[in-house]
Amino acid sequence: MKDGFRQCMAWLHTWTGLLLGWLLFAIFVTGTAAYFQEEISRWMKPEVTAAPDRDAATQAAITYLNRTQPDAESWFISPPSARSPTVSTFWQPRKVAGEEPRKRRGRRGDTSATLDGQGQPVTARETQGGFFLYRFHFDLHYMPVYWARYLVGVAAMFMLIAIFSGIVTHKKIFADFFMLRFGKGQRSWLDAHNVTAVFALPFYLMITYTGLVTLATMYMPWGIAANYSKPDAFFEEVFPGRAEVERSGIGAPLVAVTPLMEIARRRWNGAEIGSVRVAMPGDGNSIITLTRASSGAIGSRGESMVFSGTSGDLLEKSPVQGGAMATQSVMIGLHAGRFAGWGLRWLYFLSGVGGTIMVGSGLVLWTVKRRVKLADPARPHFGFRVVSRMNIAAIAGLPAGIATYFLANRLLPLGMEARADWEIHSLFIAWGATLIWAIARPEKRAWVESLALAGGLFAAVPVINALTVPRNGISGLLSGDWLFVAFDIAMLVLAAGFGFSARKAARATTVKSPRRARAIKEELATA
Amino acid sequence: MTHIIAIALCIAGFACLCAAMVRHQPDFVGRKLDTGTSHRLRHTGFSLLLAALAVDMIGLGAGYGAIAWCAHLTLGAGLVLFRLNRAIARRPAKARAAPKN
Repeated sequence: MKDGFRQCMAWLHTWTGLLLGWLLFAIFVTGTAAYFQEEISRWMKPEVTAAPDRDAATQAAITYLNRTQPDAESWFISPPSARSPTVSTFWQPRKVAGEEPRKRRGRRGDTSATLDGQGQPVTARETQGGFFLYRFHFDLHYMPVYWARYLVGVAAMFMLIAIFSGIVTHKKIFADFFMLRFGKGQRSWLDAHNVTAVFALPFYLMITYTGLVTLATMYMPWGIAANYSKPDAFFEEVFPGRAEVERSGIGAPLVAVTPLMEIARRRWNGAEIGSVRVAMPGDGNSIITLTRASSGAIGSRGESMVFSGTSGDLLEKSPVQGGAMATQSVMIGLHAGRFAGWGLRWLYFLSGVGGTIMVGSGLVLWTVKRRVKLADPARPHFGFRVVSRMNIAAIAGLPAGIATYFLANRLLPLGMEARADWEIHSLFIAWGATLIWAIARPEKRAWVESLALAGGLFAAVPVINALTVPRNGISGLLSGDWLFVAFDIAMLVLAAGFGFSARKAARATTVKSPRRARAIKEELATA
Repeated sequence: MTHIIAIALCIAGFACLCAAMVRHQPDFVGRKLDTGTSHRLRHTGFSLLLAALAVDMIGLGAGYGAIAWCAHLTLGAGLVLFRLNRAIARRPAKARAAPKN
């Protein structure tokens, strides 16, 4: 029974891992990059340099909105932070009776603005920056968000199954803890898969489970459906800050927001303000809601304080969260890592890289394991060819696409129509091209060439950056512009990593003789 | 600072654990150790990892410390593995082929 059970788990691990493995790989790559989404966004908007004072910039943003959007239903302001130098604002236009409410989704350009510290719209190249990579890791692209999130949810569920069945399958977690043998074909791939899996196992369990939790109300809507007449009623109850008061109809100016921010900061033991919401600005009943920044504690959902917009009096504090809500808030916080300082953020990132390698090596392992059993290795069956080519497109293609995304940011003309969209298109064009290349070329050469391409593209990023914008790694070293230094180094490390892999792939000997194949098979049977 | 101390403790802890494993001793320590020493190394290793947890929790708070500890464990284990593989790579090819498990 014991062996039967383990074999069952091995089967489960193999197929749950493979079926959506490429999607999981993409989620891991973009999700890992998203730990630095603010930094990537800053790199992709090199025109923005100043790091403004948080309070003054928030006040300036209110002055701007007061001038440009006095009739809005509400304003929403994200003050600048240590990681992001701009103020993002958006507003909800007031609903006019008899007019259809606007669609929520779609372009937000006409209801949002990015401001600098003086409350002036930022003039920077049009780009989605790191935000796109963040959104892609659960919303994907070119498809309805709703379907994408279900697909990602199924992939995450498979991942969770693969992790648990993988733990059962991997017999010797402690005995083989430090086992990583190179140059032994399949054995080496298995070692690499095991080592990357075991070393950051707590991270993978956490990230997969909490990833599902972030969208739990979507994946498991029945609890809400059974208890509330409509889902909105649930959210109104859980997030009471949303309840609105009636407009008074009498105009009244807003109080200064800076003293309110000071009060909130003192109440939250110095934690920063993450967002400012002004409801019914300009009205006698206007309300200012301050919410703690998610960088201030592990729980991602910050406490909030509600003030009267005309007198500045404290109207209410956010109620103490119930156990379930607090748990969910902490889980989302753990997943997104917004609380993490620099040290922990890099460790998060490295764990993400480990996860990427784990998924990637698992995908490769599927082919390596089956290659020795092929009747004719020169002409593998259809399924094998699909998997091996998809592996190339996923593992080398997506990184190549991301490098292209960075390059497009520097190379596309600044005044181009739909520039931000074309940056994203170029990512997928490069990715798609790798897939076609992987199908068109002999497998081994496709591996070498795609990996080399990814390496070359990453290596090109610092060069193209230096040629197109005044900020770069070397000038950054002199002026203390560490973002550009770190970005250049990261690109070069990635380039070196892919270059090294390409060289390894070029030198790898494919098993040709049946005798050698048999020898390997026997060795594996005894291992 | 807490990070550095905790990472150092994790490296030391995993180094002890690795040295406690008979299979890795020829590469990692240079010779086979007797059972008593291996046992003591294993205990020391686990104690050092727990000490890292204590340092993290005192320095960073219980919640943040526990999270950081997981990350420090990963990093510590990774660095010890790197060191072990450096040792294996430097060993003469002939000796490399010999040990079978």
